[in-house]
Amino acid sequence: MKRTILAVLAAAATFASAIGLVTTGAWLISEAALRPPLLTLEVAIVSVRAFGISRGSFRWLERVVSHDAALHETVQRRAHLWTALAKAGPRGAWGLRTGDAITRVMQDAELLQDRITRVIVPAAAAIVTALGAVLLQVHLQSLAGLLFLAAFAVAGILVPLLAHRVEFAAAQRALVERATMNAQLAALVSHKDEMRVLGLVDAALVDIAAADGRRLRIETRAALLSGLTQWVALVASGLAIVGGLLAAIPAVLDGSLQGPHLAIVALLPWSASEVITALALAASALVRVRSAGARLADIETLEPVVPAVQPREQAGLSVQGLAVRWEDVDAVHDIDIEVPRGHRVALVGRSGAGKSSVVSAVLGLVEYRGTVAVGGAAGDLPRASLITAVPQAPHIFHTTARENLRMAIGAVPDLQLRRALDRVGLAHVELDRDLGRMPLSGGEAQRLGLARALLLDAPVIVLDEPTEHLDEDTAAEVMRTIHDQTWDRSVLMTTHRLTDLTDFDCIHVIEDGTIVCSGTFAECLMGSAWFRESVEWRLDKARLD
Amino acid sequence: MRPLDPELIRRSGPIRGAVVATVLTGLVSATAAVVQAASAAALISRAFLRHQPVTSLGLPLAAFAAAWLLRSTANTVQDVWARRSGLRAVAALRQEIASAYARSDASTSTMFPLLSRGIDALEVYIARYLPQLVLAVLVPVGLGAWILRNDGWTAIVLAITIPLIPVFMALIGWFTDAAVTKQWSAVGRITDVIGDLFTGLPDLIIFDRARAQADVIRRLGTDATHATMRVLRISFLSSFALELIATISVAIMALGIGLRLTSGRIDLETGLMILILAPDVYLPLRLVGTQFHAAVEGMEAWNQALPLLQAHRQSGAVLTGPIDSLSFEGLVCGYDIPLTGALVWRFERGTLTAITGHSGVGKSTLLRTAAGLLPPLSGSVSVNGQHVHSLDERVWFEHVGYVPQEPWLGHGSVRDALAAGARSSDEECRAALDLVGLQGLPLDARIDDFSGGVSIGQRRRIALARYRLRNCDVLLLDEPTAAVDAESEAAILELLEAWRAQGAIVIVVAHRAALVKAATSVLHLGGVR
Repeated sequence: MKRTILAVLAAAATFASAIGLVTTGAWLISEAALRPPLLTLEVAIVSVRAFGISRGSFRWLERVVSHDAALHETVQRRAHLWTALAKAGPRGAWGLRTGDAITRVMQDAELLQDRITRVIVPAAAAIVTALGAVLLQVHLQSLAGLLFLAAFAVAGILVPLLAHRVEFAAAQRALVERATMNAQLAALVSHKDEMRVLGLVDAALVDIAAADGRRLRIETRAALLSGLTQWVALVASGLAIVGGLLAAIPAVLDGSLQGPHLAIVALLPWSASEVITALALAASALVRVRSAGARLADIETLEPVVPAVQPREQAGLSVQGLAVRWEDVDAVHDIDIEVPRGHRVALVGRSGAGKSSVVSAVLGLVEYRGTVAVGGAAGDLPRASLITAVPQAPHIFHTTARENLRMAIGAVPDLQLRRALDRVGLAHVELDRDLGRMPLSGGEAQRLGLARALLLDAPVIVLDEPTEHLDEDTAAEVMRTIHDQTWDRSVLMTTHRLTDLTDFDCIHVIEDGTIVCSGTFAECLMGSAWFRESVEWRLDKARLD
Repeated sequence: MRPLDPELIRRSGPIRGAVVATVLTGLVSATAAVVQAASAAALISRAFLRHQPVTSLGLPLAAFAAAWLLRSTANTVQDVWARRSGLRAVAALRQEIASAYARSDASTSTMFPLLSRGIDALEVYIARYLPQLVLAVLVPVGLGAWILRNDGWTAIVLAITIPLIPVFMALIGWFTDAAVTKQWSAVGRITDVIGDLFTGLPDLIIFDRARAQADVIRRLGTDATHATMRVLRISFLSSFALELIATISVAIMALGIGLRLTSGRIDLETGLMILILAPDVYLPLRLVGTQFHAAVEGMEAWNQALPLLQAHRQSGAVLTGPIDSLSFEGLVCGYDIPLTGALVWRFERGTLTAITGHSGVGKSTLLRTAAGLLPPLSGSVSVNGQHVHSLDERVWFEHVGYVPQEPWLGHGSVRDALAAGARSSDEECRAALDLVGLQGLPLDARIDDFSGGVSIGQRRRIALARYRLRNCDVLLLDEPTAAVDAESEAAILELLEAWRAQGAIVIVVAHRAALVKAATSVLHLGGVR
C-alpha cells in the first residue's frame, strides 16, 4: 500500500514536471522575446532544467516502485490461488483443464499486475495532476480553464467509463479464448506422441488457430474501442487548446492576460493531453484487470467437497455406508469395510466395478456419503497422517528422487530415503536423479510411489494395484516388501492378481458398485462365481508356463 | 540480443503490412507535428507580439486544428493497425512453431510457456519495435532537415546529441541479454512447476502436502520477480537515460534560443516552433529504446523456437506398398544414454511379439522408438526396407496403433475419445467397446484430465478400442492388459489375436504371464546394465 502511494505521488510528480517543463519553457521564450534583462529569466531557466531532470527521475521512481509492488502482489496471489486449488482438491477443480489452470495462475494473475501499474497509479496521478492543471488554467484565464475542465471531464472520465462498460464482456471472452487455446496447446505439448499417431495434430492446430482467431477478432475490436477512447482524449485536448486560444487571445488584446502567459494557456492543455490519454489507457487496462479478476475469483471461491475422517476408539480403518456419485449415478453404494489393525483386506472386482471410487473416497479425493473412520490415533488428525497410500498411477514430480520421497514425510536424512528406495528394488536410482529430465519407467514409478507411501508411518495404508507394470518376479518381491512393512498396520488393497490374496484376512468382491461377497480366499472361491472363474483363469494361464 | 533478426522477418509474412502501415501513419503524424508546431507558434507570437485579433488568425487556427486532428487520427490508426497486424503475425508464428514442435521428436518442458506467453510477447517486437526502427531513422532526419532550414544552430545541437541515443542503446542492449535469459528460465520454471503440481494434486492431497506447495510457488514466484525486476530495472534505467539525453538537449536548445531572442538574432515564432517540435525529433528514438525492452521477452522466446523451425523436416519419403515387415537393425535406443544394446530383430506380418524384461530396462522406450516417435541413438527401425524416421509421418502413422502406459483420451466424452477425430457411428463405438470388455460403459461418460469416473484400466481399454475403429498394420501396445480383470484380459487377448490373425504386426510390452503366453515370439531385453 505504501509503495502504491509512493508510486502515485511519483507519477503525479512526473506529469507535473512534464507540464511544468513545457509551460515554463514556453513562458521563458515568450518573455525572452520582450528582451528583458537576463537576470529576470534566471529562475525560469533553472526551473526548466529542474523540471527536465525531475520528470525523468520521477518516472523512473514510479515505474520501479509500482512494478515492484505489483510483482510482489502477484507472488502472493499465485500462492493464494494455489491454496484455493489445493483446498478444493481435484474433485473441486473438476473440469478445469490443466492448461486452463496454468493460464489462470500464471497469465491471468499476471494481468492483475496492471491493477497497480496501469490502473491505480496512472489514474490517480492523472486525476490529481489534471485538477491542478485545471486550477492553474482557470487562474490564468477562467474561460480557457473551464473549457479545459470540460475536455477533461468528457474525455478523461466520461468516455473511458463508457468504453469500460462496453468493453467488459468482450474482454472476458478474450480471456476465455486465450485459456481455451492454452488448454489445447498444453494438451498438444503433453500428448503429442499419441496425437501424431492418431493423426490429430492437424485438427489440434486448426482448433488452436480457431481459438487464436476468435481472440484476435475480439482483441482487435477492443483495440479499436480503446483507440477511439484515446482519439477522443486527443481531440478533446485539441479543442481545449483551440478554445483556450480563442478565449485567451482577446484577453491578451484587452490586457487582462499578460502576453507571455498566452503561451502557457495554449501549451498547458497540450502537455496535459498525455494526462487525459493516461486515463483512457487506464480504463482499457481496468477492463482486462477486472476480467482476469473474475477468472481468478472462480478459483478462489471453490469449496472443499470432501468430508473429514471420523475418529473412533478402536484401532484400524472403518468404512460404513459409503456411496460415491459420478454424474448423478451412484458409482458405489452401501460399502462397509472393516480393517482392524494388523489385518490385510482386499477389494477386488471387474474393472469399472467401483474399486477405484472406494479408494478415492477413502483417500479424500472425491466427495462421498457415509463415513470413513480411523482409530487408534488420538484427536482430530488430518487424513494424511492417518492414511498413507499408493495411488494407481503415482504422480512423479519433475524434481529429484529425493524431493519426490520427501513429499510424503518432509526433511529426513538421506540414509532413510536410500533405504526406502532399496527396499522396493530401486537401488539403482540415485537420490539426486532429476526425474523430470530422466524419467522413471512405469514400473519404477509404481515402486517409487510405494517407497513414498511406506516412509509415512500412518496406521492405515491403501494400495491401489501396487503390482501393476511390474514383471512377475518384481511383483512378488514387492508383495513381500508390503507384507514385511505393514504387518502392524491396516492394509486395504485392490488388485487383479487374485492369487496374491491367499493369506489376506478378508476379501471383498465388488460387483456393479456394491459388495456382493466377503470372506477369506477360500470363502470367496465358494461365494463368488466371478472370483472363482478369475482365479481359475489366472491359474490356467500360469500353468501354461 | 540482436536488434534485428532477418530470420524472423522472413518467416512472418503478415508483418510487412504492419511495418508499411505503421511507417506511413508515423510519417503523416510527423508531418502533422510540423504543421502543428508552426501554426501554434504563429498564433502565439502574432497574438502576443503583434496583438493581432482572433479574426485575422483564422488561417493558423484552422491549420492548427486540422493538424491536431490529423495527428490524433494517424496515431490512433497506427495503434489499432499495429495491434491487429501484430496479433495476426503472432497467430501465424504460433501455428508454425506449434506445428514444427508437434512433428518433431523434441520434448521440452518450457514448450508450453513458449507457445503461449512467449509467442504472445513477440507481438511487441513485430508490431511495435520493427516499424519503430524505420521511423527512428526517417523522422529525426526529416524533422532535422526542417529545423536546419529554419535555424542552423539548433540543427547542430540535434546532429551532436541524436547519435548519442543509438550508441547508448547498443550498450544497454548488451546488458539485457543475460538478464532476459534468466527471467525467461525463471518464468518457465514456475509455469512448469504449477502444471506439474496441478497434475499431481491427488498425490499431494493424499500426503496432505498440497497446501504446503504454496510456499514452493511463493519461492519460485519471488525468484521470477527478482529476475523480472532485474530486466525491468535495466529497461527503466535505459529509458531514463534516453529521456535525460533528450530533455537536456532540448534544454540546451531552449537556452540558445532564449539567449538569441534577447539579442534579437532569432524571432519568437521560429523559436517557439522549434521548441515545440524538438521533443518530437527525439521521440521515435526513445520509443525504439522502450519498445526494444518490451520486445526482449518475445525475442528470447523466438531464439528458443528457432532451432525447432530450422530442424523441422517438411516431408519425408512416402511409405511404399503394404507393410510386410518391421525390423530393428542394430537398434540402440534411449534418451541421451543408451538403454538397450544393439538390437537386431524382424517382425513379420501376423505375429504377436511380447517384449519382456525387468522394470526399467527400456521396454517402453523401445516401443516409442519403434513407432518412430523417438529417434534411435544408433541403428534403425525400418519397414519394407525404409527407415521409419525418414518416412512422411502422416502416411506412416495411418498404419500405426500406439498405446502407451497412461493413454491420453482428450477432454470430452468416451465417444469423442473413441472416435479420436475420425467419424464413427455409435454402433461402431459400442462394438469396439464390447471387444475390450467395456460393454457397460456409457458413450456419454465424461473423461477429464484427472482420471475420475473412468479407471485407468478402463482408459487403457478405450485407447485400445479406438484402434479397433481404424485399420492398423502395426500395433505397438504398452502393457495392454495392466490393471484389468481376468475377463477383460481374456477379451483383450482375443482382440490381439484377431489383429494378429488379420495379418497385423502386433508388438506388446508384457509383464503378465497370460500375455507372454499368447505371443508368437518373445523379445527379452536384458539391458546394458
